Amino acid sequence: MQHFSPRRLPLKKRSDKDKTFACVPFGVWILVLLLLPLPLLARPGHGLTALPARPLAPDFTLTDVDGHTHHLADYRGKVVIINFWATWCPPCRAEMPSMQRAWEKISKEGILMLAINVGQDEEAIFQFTADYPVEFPLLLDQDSQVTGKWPVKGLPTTFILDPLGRIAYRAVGGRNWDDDNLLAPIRALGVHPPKTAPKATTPSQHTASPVNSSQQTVREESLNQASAVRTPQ
Amino acid sequence: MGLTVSFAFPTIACMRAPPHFHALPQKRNAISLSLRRVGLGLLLVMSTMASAQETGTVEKGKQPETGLAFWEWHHAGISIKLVQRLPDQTRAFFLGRGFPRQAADQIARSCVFQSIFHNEGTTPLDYDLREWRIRHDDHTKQMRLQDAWDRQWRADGISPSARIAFRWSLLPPQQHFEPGDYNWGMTIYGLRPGERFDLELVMYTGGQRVTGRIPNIQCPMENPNPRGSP
Repeated sequence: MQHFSPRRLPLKKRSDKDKTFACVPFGVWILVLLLLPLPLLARPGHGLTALPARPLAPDFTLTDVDGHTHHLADYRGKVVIINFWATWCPPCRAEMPSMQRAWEKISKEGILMLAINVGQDEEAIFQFTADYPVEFPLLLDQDSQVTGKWPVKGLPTTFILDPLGRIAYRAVGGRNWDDDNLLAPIRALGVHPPKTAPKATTPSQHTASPVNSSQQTVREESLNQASAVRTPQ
Repeated sequence: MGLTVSFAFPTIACMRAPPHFHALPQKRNAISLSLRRVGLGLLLVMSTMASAQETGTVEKGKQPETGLAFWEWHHAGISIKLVQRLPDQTRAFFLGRGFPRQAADQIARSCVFQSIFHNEGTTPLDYDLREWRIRHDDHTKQMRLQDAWDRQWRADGISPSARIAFRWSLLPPQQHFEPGDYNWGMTIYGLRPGERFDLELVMYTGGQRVTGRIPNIQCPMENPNPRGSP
């Protein structure tokens, strides 16, 4: 500590060695301060945000463009990817081909993918699929009532539900969904399904904020080691 | 600013006198220590100033595909890019979403930018557009946000589907981004085509309030490059 407080040494007794060492801590500071900005300059890839509280996903019943009805509660026991999008949203369009490629990988593994269109009609989506052919269900939320119950602020936003119907991960903005690093934690949800029963939550709790550090602790410790996953700070 | 401080600190703190200087009496050692103290004091002042000042860098350019002008602000992995939307583009977009001509015209001529907000930093980021300011002709005003527009559309009898499309096509008025998240959306500044303004940004990241300014942004012109003009 004396190195930080040279005034504690009588000046006349300080040797050249003392003077040299007096600067050592500052040398250490130099290193620390030079290295500090490095992580700030690093650009992490786009990943998934883990929601430690795992709020129960708001239920819905929606029809897809082929006329099939989807009731979210019927999909308990499966991992479900739910994407909110619109045809006029550039990043939504950009991620659609990668979603199709991901679907080709994961549908055989029992993982579901539902893309909920916000506010548009079947005709708009029909035209869209001419340019962006996809095989996973495209659901219609024309009055955006369902979207309003989810913690969606901008498009696209995607949620990953665990087999208990809880929101495990979130991604705001588009992703390369066929990236195996991104799919790894999603696949792991199905491999290691949580055994605890979901806590009942109201829709208002979902819309308020899905990220609350004071809520439950993260249960998927092993999943969070995956590079594509981060826990909210 | 972080880098500036990092480099300034060792320069001042480890300011060691040359060998002949140490050979001189205590008086010079005392001067050396005083310099060091002054340096540390200056460093503290600089750090304080850094937290209060606007920060970031601004890049101006043209989109290679469209030739439309953009302004992009960067700071510590955070970026917001404002790309001009021609009034014709915006008019067509909203006519296609079910807006009547007059309403689509109003939006189109209100200085609309496509706004792309990325958080590629290492800490979560929050913003609230109500804190942002538009400086134009010595006046300061706020952006007109979703709720205000929605009140007008309801009063004008705009269809629910058109209102929904409008709402979701704007940049969210508040947002929380984890690192790696981003959004696109329109921002509307309520100025006439061709007018210029400064935009003052406010956001919160890593427990810090970060402010920035994008100067001299130009609203898109109604017809920026008519046939025959250079």
